[in-house]
Amino acid sequence: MLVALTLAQPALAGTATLNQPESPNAQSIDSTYRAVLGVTVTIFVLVGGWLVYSAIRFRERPGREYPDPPQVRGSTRLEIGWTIVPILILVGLSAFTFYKLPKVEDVPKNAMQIGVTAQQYSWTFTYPNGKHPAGPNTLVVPVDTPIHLNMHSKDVVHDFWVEQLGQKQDVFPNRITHTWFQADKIGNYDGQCAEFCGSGHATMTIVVRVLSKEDYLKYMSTKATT
Amino acid sequence: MATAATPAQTFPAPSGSTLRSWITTVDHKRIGLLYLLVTMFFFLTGGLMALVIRLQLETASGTVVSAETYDQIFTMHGTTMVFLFVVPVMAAFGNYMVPLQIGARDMAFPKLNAASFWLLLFGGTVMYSSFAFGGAPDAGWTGYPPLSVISPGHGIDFWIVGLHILSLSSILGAINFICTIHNMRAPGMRLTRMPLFTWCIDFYSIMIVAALPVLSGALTMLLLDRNYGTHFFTANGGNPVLYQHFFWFFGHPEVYVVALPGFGMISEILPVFSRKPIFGYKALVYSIAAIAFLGFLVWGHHMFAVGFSTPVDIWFMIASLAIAVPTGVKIFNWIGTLWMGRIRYEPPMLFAVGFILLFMIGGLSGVFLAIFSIDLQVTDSYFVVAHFHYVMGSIPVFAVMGGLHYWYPKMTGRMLNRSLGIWSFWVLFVGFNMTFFPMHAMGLSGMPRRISSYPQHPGWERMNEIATLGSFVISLGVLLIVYNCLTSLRNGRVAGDDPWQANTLEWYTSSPPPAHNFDSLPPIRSERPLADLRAEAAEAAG
Repeated sequence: MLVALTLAQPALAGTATLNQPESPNAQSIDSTYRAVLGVTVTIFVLVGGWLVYSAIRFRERPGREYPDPPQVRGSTRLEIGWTIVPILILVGLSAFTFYKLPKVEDVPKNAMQIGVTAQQYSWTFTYPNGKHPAGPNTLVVPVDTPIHLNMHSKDVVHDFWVEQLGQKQDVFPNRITHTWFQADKIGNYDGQCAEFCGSGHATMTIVVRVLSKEDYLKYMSTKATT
Repeated sequence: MATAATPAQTFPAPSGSTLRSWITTVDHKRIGLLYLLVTMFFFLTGGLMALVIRLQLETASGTVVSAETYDQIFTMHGTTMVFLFVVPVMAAFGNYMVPLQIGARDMAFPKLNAASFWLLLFGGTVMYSSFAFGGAPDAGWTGYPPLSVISPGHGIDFWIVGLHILSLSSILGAINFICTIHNMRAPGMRLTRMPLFTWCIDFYSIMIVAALPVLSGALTMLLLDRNYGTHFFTANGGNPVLYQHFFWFFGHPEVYVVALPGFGMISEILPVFSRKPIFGYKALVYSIAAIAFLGFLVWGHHMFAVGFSTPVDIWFMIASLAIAVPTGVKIFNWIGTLWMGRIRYEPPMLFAVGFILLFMIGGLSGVFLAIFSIDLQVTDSYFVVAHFHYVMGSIPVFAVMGGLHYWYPKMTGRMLNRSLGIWSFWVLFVGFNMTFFPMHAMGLSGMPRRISSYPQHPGWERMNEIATLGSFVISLGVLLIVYNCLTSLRNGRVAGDDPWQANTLEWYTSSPPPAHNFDSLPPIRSERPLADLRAEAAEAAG
């Protein structure tokens, strides 16, 4: 198992991490993720190694005589030790999470306010001037600009998720929920509704098109619909 | 068995092996076997639905079933596995083993026990009859409103009524376990000497009694919303999030309802096949208690994406992480039991050691889901599907199958075929990891759960192919076990009272035990009375 894990490492390099984050909140989550991955993989290798070692080392081999194993019933010192050490590790992980938290949650000032309406099975985006991007399920935004989404649903619970641009947020019919991102690279980002919403759930995709600021202005004056 | 002297104070159970005697039985062992038969049937049914899911997802635009059918299939897969297999299969073993482990004649309320079983079968039948009456439930095993309120047809109504019946079955069974364990222990069987499996069934029962009524309440409100115009969970005046709170207040403890008896089975198997006492008996009991308590404080970690305020997020995160501590204690004590032991690799032991390794993966991936900022990326993705199958799936497939291989000789009087058992383990171990390990990567790269088709994304089809192939390997392993269980009934080596040189009272009586369980009981001076007997005999022999 350990050998397999070691051999699999190059293959895992691309698959053991989140998709390349392109927004400050996504980057902040990504670094929290990598820290936790490092700690948990280390624990798995150490404790799993201890388990596999014990399971193999102390196996009974046929044809040999064995004395009765020592009838040990426990050890208070060990119990205290393996209670305290995990607590310390978890305190450390929590502290690192809190350190990275402000960048996940705090929306930068002067963010562009965009309205999001979700319904079975499509997304409608509305700019501050009342216009909409052309094309279904598509949001067009300028690069390096904080975007604040104010979302509500017309029917059931949906969830806005464009992984490279940050965290999920559920979208409800009875209240407005918020999320934000600030794409730092021009390009298309794929996302998808992440809360099961009915038979068309799989088709409720999202594309965020990030344009340069000039292209965005051009887009708004020529392509955006009213 | 038929003519065993029945003490006067017990129910005159019909004897023999006629159909009537099984239908009217109030014997905890027969009821346990009936539970086992029915839950295994539902396991195979839920497994077949899993194969449909895997076939559909083998390619990006799967056409095995329609999206509507797919929704029904994954809803019934989850519901079946949780409510008709993993929870009641624990009642199967609990029923059979708890009275034996504590040296009792039967459960405290034998007729109520029979009622619990028949309610299970009835509830399952009601739920599955939805297929015949216009369509199965299709809102996921969590049944979130408003989707579950507006879902057309009567699938969800069948789901609600079926779950009500199943909850009643579980609650009655749990009350019965609590009364049995706390009132019917043999002389000398103090709480501090109780087998760990019985301890786990005790906490399993306490958690069921505390958690399931909350689900029943929520389901009743959902039923009213659907049919009688109330607005508990709808957008106009009600609150969909309220349902999620109710559901997960039940739903997270439910995870431990499933986990604890699995832990109990592992804690029985490890010391027997290591030829050592369990390491840290008291620490294990305390950690079971801690898990049972903390399990009620963490439900919000299933709901981080609804958008709590930060302090609420932090509370649920810290409470969830705290569960890692007693869980770690259990794992360390299990490995401590192996340490310096003389480990004999009979099939139950392979399943037990394999379970610890898989459960460790599930426990560690849980850390990512407890930390809410990471959770907001991976929740509702295939990462979660991977996580809960390493937890909720490794328990039935490895811990319970370990328990089955361990106790089958006691239940039937015959040994299972050893090499078939070893083969089943390795086939299941390989298949399980093939199926569920790639799902971590699918989720991390953005694949949401509960989708019947997916976009062309680099790697997704390949990973789904591996998972699909793995699911067929799992099926082979399950079929091997079923085949082994059926053929060994006739062909298995005769087991004798105590084929494993085990520690607990169930191995003191014959295999299978007589209707009255015990002709006599040994003195109980520790948590392993049979090991004490062997030590005394060895001493007497010089």
